[in-house]
Amino acid sequence: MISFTLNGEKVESRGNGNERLLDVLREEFSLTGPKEGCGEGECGACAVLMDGRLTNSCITPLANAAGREVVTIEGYSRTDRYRVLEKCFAEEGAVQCGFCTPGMVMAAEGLLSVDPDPSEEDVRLAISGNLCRCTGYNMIIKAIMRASKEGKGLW
Amino acid sequence: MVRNYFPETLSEALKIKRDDPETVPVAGGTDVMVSKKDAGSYLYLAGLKELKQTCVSGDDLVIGAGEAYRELLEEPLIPELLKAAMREVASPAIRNSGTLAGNICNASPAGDTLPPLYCMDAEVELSSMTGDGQVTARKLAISEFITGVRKLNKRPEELVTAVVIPGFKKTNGMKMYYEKVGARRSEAISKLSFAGLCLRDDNSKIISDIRFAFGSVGITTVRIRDEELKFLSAKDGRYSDMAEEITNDLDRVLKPIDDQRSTAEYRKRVSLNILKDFLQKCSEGSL
Repeated sequence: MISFTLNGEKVESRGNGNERLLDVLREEFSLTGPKEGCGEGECGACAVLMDGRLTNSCITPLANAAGREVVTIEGYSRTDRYRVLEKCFAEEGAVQCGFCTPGMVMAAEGLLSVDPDPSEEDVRLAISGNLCRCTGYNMIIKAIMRASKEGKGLW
Repeated sequence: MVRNYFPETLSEALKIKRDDPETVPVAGGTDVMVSKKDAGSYLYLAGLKELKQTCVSGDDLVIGAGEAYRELLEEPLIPELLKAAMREVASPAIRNSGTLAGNICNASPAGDTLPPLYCMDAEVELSSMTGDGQVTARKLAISEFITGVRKLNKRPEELVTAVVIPGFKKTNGMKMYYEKVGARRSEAISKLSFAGLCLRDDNSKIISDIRFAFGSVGITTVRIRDEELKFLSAKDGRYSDMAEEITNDLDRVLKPIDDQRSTAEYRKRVSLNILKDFLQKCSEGSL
């Protein structure tokens, strides 16, 4: 059994160490927020936070989650920070099909938690590992910039 | 049934590697998890504190094999040339997990950190456990460690435990040059890359040391010390004349290939243009 903290709760997984964290999250814990896009770390749709750091769960072996704190979009959506991002994503039109959105929001948190007042260039870099095939990125970048201002003090 | 090992100490990991030499070491997992073939056995190293240390030992900088790019980018001791390359690796999420030692062990001709490491004469520390439980270590120059595409000069029972930059303070005193050419800024495997270091006295205009290395233009990173020494031997500081000769020499040496990312012709032309630019800037002192 591999134990770790998942969205604030201590859990134990029956999975093997070499299973993808993404599969364990989706199938064993029924957390379908993290998506499989490319399955090889290129698209960021599977992104979660591990000890606060953006991580592609499709290329993370379950073994590497042992003893760590894993947060998926489901856990993150219970925070005030999420609510600011949600509002800004909605108002800026940063969501179309929505497939990339959980990963984009996690990437935004990965950035804002270390840099609460990023430049546009910082935002572009922070989401550079997340692909979006609908929005053309500009709305997502605007949404994250806006969240950094409207959520001042939260990060 | 896949065997999964979770060692709690380095010595336990070395013992496992001795007794099950086929086990595949996994640090960040960012390369291993993408490889389509399943190994029968994995050895997880991410939890080992002994591999998460970077320290100065005499003139050497010793970088623990478990250090992820993100951690090294935040570490003031790491040479800027290496940081320049690490910033170009993959994406933020992969830099949070992937390790420098993993980039070396993946032994790709396009490994982003390899040209800087070759320029700095980096060494790889290999550790193993003998039959009677003694831990031994040896060091190999990176150019002797990587022998081909995904080929390493490593005994099956050995683990890479550190990356060593000898005389790193001298390296840090040199001017640097780094260029990666890829199809996009992030998540790009390089079409080609180039790293250079130069030590020039601005008063006498004499260049006392120069190093340069090319990525993605051969089966391993290309660095040729004789060409560097030839450049340094330019008479009366006529480095510009020598630069042309060096570029012609390298034109004969670089043997890139056509593949899905680029063509041999493009790779060679751009690599030589970058070399020319680097040598010119060294000659003028404008790095």
